[in-house]
Formats: sequence, C-alpha cells, structure tokens
Amino acid sequence: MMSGMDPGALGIYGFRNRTGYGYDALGFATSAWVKAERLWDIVGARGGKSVLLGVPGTYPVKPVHGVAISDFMTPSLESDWAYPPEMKDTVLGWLGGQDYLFDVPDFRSSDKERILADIHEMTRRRFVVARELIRSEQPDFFAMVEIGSDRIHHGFWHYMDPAHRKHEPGHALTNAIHDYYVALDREIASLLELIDLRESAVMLVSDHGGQRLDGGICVNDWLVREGLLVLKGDAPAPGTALGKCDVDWARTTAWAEGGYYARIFLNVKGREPQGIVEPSAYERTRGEIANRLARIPDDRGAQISTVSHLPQRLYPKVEGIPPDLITIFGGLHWRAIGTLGWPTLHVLENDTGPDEANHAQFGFYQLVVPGQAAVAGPQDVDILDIAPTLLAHAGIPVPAQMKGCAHAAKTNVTPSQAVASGVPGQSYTPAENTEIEKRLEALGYLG
Amino acid sequence: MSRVVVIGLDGLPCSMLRRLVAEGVMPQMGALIAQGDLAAMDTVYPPLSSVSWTTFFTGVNPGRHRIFGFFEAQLDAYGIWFQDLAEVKTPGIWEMAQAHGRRTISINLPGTYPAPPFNGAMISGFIAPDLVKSVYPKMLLPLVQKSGYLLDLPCEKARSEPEVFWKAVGQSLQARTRIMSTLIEHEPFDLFVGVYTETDRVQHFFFDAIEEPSHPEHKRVMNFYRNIDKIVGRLAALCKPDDELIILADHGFCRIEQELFINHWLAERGYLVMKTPRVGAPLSEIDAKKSRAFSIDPGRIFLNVRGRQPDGCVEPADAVALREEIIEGLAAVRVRVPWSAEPISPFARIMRREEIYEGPWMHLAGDIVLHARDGFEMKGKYNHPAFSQLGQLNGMHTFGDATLFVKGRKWPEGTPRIIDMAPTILGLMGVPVPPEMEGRALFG
Repeated sequence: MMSGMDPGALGIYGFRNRTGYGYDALGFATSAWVKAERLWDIVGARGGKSVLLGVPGTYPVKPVHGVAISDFMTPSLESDWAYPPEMKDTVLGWLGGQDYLFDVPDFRSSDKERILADIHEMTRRRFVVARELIRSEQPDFFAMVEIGSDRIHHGFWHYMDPAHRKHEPGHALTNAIHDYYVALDREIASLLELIDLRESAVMLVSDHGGQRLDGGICVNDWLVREGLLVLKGDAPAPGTALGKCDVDWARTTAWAEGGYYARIFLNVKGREPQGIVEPSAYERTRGEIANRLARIPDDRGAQISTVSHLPQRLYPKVEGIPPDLITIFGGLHWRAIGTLGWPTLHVLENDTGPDEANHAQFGFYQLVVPGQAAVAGPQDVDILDIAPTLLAHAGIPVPAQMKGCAHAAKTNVTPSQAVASGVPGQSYTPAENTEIEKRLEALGYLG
Repeated sequence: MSRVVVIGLDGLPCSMLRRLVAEGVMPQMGALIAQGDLAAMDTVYPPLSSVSWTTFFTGVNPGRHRIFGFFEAQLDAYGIWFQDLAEVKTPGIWEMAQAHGRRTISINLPGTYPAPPFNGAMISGFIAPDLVKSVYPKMLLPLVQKSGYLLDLPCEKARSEPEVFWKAVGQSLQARTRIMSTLIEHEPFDLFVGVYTETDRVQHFFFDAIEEPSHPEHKRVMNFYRNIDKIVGRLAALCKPDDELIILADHGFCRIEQELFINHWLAERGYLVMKTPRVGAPLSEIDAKKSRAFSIDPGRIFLNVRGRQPDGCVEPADAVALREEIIEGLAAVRVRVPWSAEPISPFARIMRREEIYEGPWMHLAGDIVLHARDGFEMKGKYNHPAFSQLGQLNGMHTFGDATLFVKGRKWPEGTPRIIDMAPTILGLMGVPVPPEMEGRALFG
C-alpha cells in the first residue's frame, strides 16, 4: 500500500522470506528489505515533511524527513523505534511515564479480559501520541496504523459471530468488537479535530479484512502423510517446528511454512542443496501438489475452496525467492499450521495460541478530499491503487513503478487490439473481423 | 494411383501419442501404429496453425504463400489485418489435384475460409466465422446444419464454464465425425483431408490435466483422448484396403512455463515508444515517429524504416546495424525460472527473416523472427508491465514433435517436415509434383 508495488516487485512474500535456497534460510522482512520508495520518501524528496506512527515495515526506523515511530514488529522499547532517536523521550514524556505499546503483549492468550483492556489501552496511548505528533510537527503527510482493530478480531471474533464454531450466545464479551470500534471512532474524531479539512485530504483504509477462523490445517503433517515430506526417526511431538525435525531432504519433495496462508516450497534438483524434483518435472509437480491441496476437506469431511496461487502468475515481476505455491485454505477460514506432530490433520486451535479470526481478502477505504462531496467510490479498487490515489490528490506525479490506478483518474480500458480502418485487402467483413478477434483472444493470440 | 486419406489431429504431439498408446488410452492408434510408421515431424516458423496448415496444403514456405501468422502487420499504416484463403498466394493441394482431374474433400482444414468453388467438397476450418460461406457446394449445407456441426469451440468458456466447453467438445466431435464418415462412405474422392482441431483447444486449456493424474479435469481429458482414439479407429475402418492413410498434426505441444512480452523489452530498451500507457493498447497507438521497432504476435519484430512505413524513423542505411543490435540485445536476455537458481535465455532461435523465408512475400515477414524455448510463449501485447510472466493458458505449440503416421509404409531417414507433406501426398496419388514445391516427396 505504501510503495504502490506488489509483493513480486518488492520481493516480500510474508513476514518471513527466503534469503537463499538453503532449507533454513529465512529472514524477517523488516524495513531493511524494502528497497522501494514509499510515500514518505517521495514526499520527502519534494521537501515535504512526514510523520509515521506504527506503519508496518518501518522497523527498524530509517531516516525520514520528519518523524517515524516504528510498528508492531518492534521488539521492545530498547529497540531502534524512533527517528530522530531523541523522539523516544518526547513520546514517553507525552505518555507521562507510561510505556508506549507497539502491540498487545502476549495477545494470543486465553486471558481475554486482560487482552481486551490492553487493546483499549494500547489504542488510547497511540492516539495520545498521534495527536501530539500532529500538533507539534504539523506534517504534510501523516500516516498512522492502529493494530488494535486487527488484534481485537483475532481475539474476540467468536463472541460476535454466530457462525463461529466457538460462539457462545449471550456471552459477556459479545459486544467487545463493537465497543472497541466505538472507542476507535471517538479517537479518530479527536484526531480529525486537529486537521484542517479545507486543505487536507483524509483517507481511512485497511490492509485486509477479517472473518471467522474455523481452524488450522497442518500442512507439513499433510505433506508427510502424502509422502512428499520425509522425516527421519520417531514422529515429532505435537507442535514441533520443522526446523527442529530431522528431515530426510534427499527424499523430500516439498515443505511448507504456516501462517494465515501456506507457502509451499519444492525441493528442486540444482536449486536446493539436496533437491530431488527434476527441473523438467517442476511445473507438473507444482500443479499436482496444488491439486492435491485443493482436495483437503474440512474436519467434518466437507469440501472447502482451497486455492493455490503461483507467484509467477500473480505478479508481473517476481523478485527475491518466492514460495513455489501460495495456498489459501478454505477462503482463509482455515489457516495453515506449519508445526508438526499433530494427531489430526485439522486443529481447532492455532499452534501459536488461541486465534478466533483470520484475514479476509477485501479491506476498505474512505477518502475525503477538500472541496469534494463524499461519494461512493469504485468497488474494484486494488490495494496498489492507494499510493497513486494519494499522490494524485497531493498533485505529485505517480512514479512509473506504481502499477495501480489513481482513483480519480481511472479510465475505462478496452483490451481489444482493434484492426485499423482502411486495411489493405478486405478479406473479411467487419463482423467477421470481430468474430476472429474474439476467437484469437480466447486462444491468447491477441491482446 | 491410390486414394489418400489424411486425418489431422491439430497439435497432437508425437511423444504424447506414444505415451497415451503405451498407457492403453488409445488402443486403436496403437493397433494402427503397429501397421505403419510413426515419426515426430518438424513444422514451420512460427509453429501456428494458420502458418503450418497453409504450408501443409501449399507445399511452400511462408515467403511464397504469404501467411506469417494469424494476422499480418500493415506496412502502409500501424495496424494489423487478417487474411483469408483468397490472400494465400500459391495454390492449395486440391487445386493441384484438380488440374489432374482428381477430386478432393476437405473438412475443417485451418486456413481454408471462405470455401472456394473447386472439384470437390469443403467445409472451411479455423478461422471460419460464417457457416454459409464455409461450405462448398451449398447442397451440403443442410446436412452440415442438421448435424449440429460447430465451426469452432467456445474457447472463451474453457476456464469459466468448463461444463459448457466440454459439452461443445462432445457435440463438435460427434457432428464432425458424422459428416466425415458420411462423406468418406458416400462421396467419391481421390484425396480426403479431415482435421480435428479439438485436440489443440483441449491442450491449450488443459495440458496440465493430461500430465497430472490428480487434476480435477484429468479423467475428462483422458476420456477425450479415448474418444479421439475411437474416432480415428472408426474413420480408418472406413478406408478401403488400397487407400493410403496418413495421420498428422501441424505442430507439437508443451506446457507454458512463462509468457514473454517482447514489446516490454523493446520499450524498456527505448526501441519502442507508446503514445499511451494503456495496457493492451493497439499497434496504432505506438508513437511511430519515435519508435524504431515493434513486435506483433508471435515474436515478429518489425523495424520502423523510413520509406517503408509511413512514419518510419529508422534510416534505411541504419536498418541493418539496428537489426543486429536488437538481435545482440535479445541474445543477452535472461529470465528467472523457478526451477533454476541461474537465469536462462528464453529464446531457442533469433532469426533474420531471410534465414528462414524465401519468396516474393518475404518483405511482409518480421525483420526478426523469434522462436522461444519450449515452455515460453511470446506475446505481442503493448504496455504489459513485465517482460516475463506465468500465463493463464497452460499449453503452447512446439516446432518439433508433431505427430506423423503413415499406414503400411516407412518414413525415410531424417526428420520429416510439414512442407514435405503436399508433395508426398501428391506423389501417393500419382499426381506430378509441381516444380515450385519446396518440400520433397517422401516416397517414390
């Protein structure tokens, strides 16, 4: 969203990414991974001042023309979380000696009352800092990300959603999510009071949606069952990470990383150290695993709609080392469990602690522009459109690497490579030409 | 002086046919192969149905028959246009047969629209938009219409509504086979050519399903080949003992690994400048005053030469050096493939047109003709955001590995070529081979 570039162009495919073709070469995608210009870099290059608060992908902080307070990936208050560094004391001063909270401590816990209080408190403190930053810095570009809305979904969705398998009607926490949004709404209103809406455009935007989580599918255990991942020795204890298992790589076809979605890696001859998949069999193997994954049912044996994406098809450019498959189980109602040794293929709890919600494909945005009435926007906006849209409203030219459309400037695209008029010879009638174009397009020869 | 029956199975790779026979999917073909000789045939550049079938039925190279693709770049404007049979500059095999009093029946042979009047019967093949103009003589029209005959399949539905697509495949095979068998049984002929294009269509969309037993469409695809096998067996059984039987494909097939957007590369290097950033813009929207080269499908690169094209900006004296520069640049291109840690060249051959074409129409060919490695499909799209990308279709044509089978005979040494087919067929019919033909008669 902040670079206007897709994961393929950025070379970032998840929280952890492959740094080499070795089996344990995974690194956290921190700010150091992002080589692309983000909105504040573009604004800064034109002399504009930015304030960033909690924007994912900013830890550890890098110099910015303005102020940056890093995001929920920040390990602790001892880390490099503020630019300029002296802002640390300023921020803590605004909080009257209380800690600034990057994230909810231990948020995948069963102590729901404590988590709920922590989420509210984290959000309250962040907005204190946000208001002070706007007042003191008067930035040209202000971007803050509140992680609380995501956290409250993960922790409390089942109290709200009757379709959730853990739903308890009439539970005292039924309104926890609702009440949080009411509080968040008030905080946002308090922020808007500090902004002159006659000269500032404001966008409220989410990076993904939320929905109930039905459970987890133990993808590495499944690979073991299918004979695609081969372990040496005894079966691992439940919840053992793949890195702690004794994998027989010379007999392994594929392995996976868990998460909201699964990432599948093939063990390719000449690519991985002990690869066994012949390059000529790569596409066939990848397709076959995708087909087999699509057939994994839910815990009751019902079919779920599982889709495996090929990065090379999703993204025009594929930088870095992408996974071989990106698998989304059951429309994201099921997450992927990467640890091994589970007694069943399906687990109803997450392997990293209780989790009641997963992400959903569609988020939202609301844009208010000075002098323009708020109207319903287009429905098919892509997350890649956000950066160009903001730049367009700021009167800044959209750089070539941004492939999205500026919302205000979206044009209708007609893909037909039409035949020019006055062609030499008149083999076909115009109606026949149209029919021919249609057929050639269906076969991929036109457009 | 035998009759010759040619059954075309568009795009059926020889290697796949051997495998399907070995796996017992195509027992009738297996029985036929035991009575003759199966070979892998080379086709033509580019290995497209329109080019290769036209080469098949004319026996000359594209520089003489003038079909270089599904369409041609206009040289008097920046656009493309489609050619029909009237624009093919050399006679079809049915005309050479007619000159010696022989009668031809041709069903669904690509590149034969509209059906011309001649000594025989024809139903045109791809791309035939209008059924009435596709049938000669017109007295055949009621029979064709009553059979539920389809000129082509609804390929646009193959992905979105596979049920609709497969239903049409079933109807198409049945109707085409009914017409073909009726004509073989009841119409006099010396040469019969009947082509099934369903194989090509199924392979474009479901090539992965053939290779992957776990693919949801695998069973249906295998049943399709069982059906093709029965049909070939049925048509072969209708032949008389003295008939010569040839079964062939116009090109091979393989899986698409990546699509290559040649115009992206030209634009990135500054050879091509567009007037609009719109993805998929037509050729007419190139900035012709600033563009030194552009590409049209599949891998044809044209220089924009002053005096040849209306806004040509390459001086004729500089054209040769520019072409060499582009060839050199393309030869250095490397793409990342997921199965190799090192990037590879996506091109198998980068050809100057005079290296592969010869004849009066050679000037209509691309100045450079690219042939990609198997697995890399070249696209002519403008403003695509990347040079290479995984495609939506999953099967593509290959130059080699086209099926070629002859019953009761043995192909001579060396790889047969599709350009050899017309003289070979005329030879089997006892018709003198015209000297203009470039291929060789493989028998006699």
